[in-house]
Amino acid sequence: MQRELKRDFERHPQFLDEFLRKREFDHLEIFSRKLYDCSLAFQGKVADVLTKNRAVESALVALATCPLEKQHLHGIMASLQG
Amino acid sequence: MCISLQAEQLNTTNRFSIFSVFNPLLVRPKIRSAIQEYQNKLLIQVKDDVKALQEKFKRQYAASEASRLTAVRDLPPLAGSIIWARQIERQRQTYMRRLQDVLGEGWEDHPEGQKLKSEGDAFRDKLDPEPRGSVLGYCRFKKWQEEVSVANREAMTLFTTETFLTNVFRIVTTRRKELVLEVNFDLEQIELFKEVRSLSLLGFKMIPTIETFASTLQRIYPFAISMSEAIRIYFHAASRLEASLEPLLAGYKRKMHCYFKLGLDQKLLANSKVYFLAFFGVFHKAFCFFCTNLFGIHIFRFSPTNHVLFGRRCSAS
Repeated sequence: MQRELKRDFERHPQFLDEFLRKREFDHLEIFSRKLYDCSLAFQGKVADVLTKNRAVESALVALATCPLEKQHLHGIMASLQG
Repeated sequence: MCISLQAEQLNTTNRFSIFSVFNPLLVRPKIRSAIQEYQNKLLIQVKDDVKALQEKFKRQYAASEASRLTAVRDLPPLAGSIIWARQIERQRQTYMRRLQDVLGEGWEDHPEGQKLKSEGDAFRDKLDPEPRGSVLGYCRFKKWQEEVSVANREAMTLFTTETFLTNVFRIVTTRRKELVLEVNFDLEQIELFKEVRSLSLLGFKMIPTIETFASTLQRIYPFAISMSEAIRIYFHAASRLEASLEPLLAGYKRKMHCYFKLGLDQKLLANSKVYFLAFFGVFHKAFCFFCTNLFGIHIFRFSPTNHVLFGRRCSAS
């Protein structure tokens, strides 16, 4: 657990140890802020993944139905790589 | 005085202020007869004002515009209703003072003055049925304080900053028998500390237990709201993610779970090994699947059995 969160608490190296041992009120601010940041980052990543997945899926559908010509294939492949 | 009163563009408020300035002269018979016309008009005005005020009071605070405004300004119901009652009382006192100004010395012996005074006094009793001389709203405050003490007796002794910090999160079973992770803070009690804050500003003295409890809630409140929101965002985002895409964001999920683990009671975690593994390790994938089906934020009491149950379900899925 500490390894996972280590990068998040670079500026507060003692935080994890202290939070687990002492649990003081001062720790709560840092903890809640980090948790909130992490959830926001996760939300952003989910949105990104879903958008990219939709783009890939539509490109694959286009690939299945497009005419077998260089121009069409090139366009779809460019969007897949892009 | 008569010339001032005769001015046509003069409104009622100005006439009242002229009467208040020249009030000592009203004992003179000549002046009294000269201003009688205006005096009668102003008496009718006072009567109408008192009647309008009574009507306003009859409509009750809950249905008033003031209650909507106080809600917008984040004022709790009891404090809002006391402020509203005090406003009405201040207006009543203003009308009574105007009556005194218009009728002059010995206004209580005047037939109209006598009638309006008794009406005003009866209205005061309706406004606040507590003994004269006490602060308006004191009875209601006392009653509320007793109710709060009884309703939160357990929470007041058990819930402290330390207990919250030991267990920042809790897992509850909803009515649909689903296990939900949430912040160990009763969101319904937000109103309590807002009420305490507003009532203290109104001059009421709280009993120490309520005051301590409210200050604990107030201290924790911003963090609890922030963490509740973080949990809501996480589970909402997780529920949007399809199972086939989950491995792509496994690292982010694991990090969130580390935060959740950090916020739970460490001793309890160590004791319930199944739950521990399910939540943060071996059964990570199963847990992710399970988590995607979790939703909502509910209020609950902490129960260790929930932790074990939670772990068993994860390992079974």
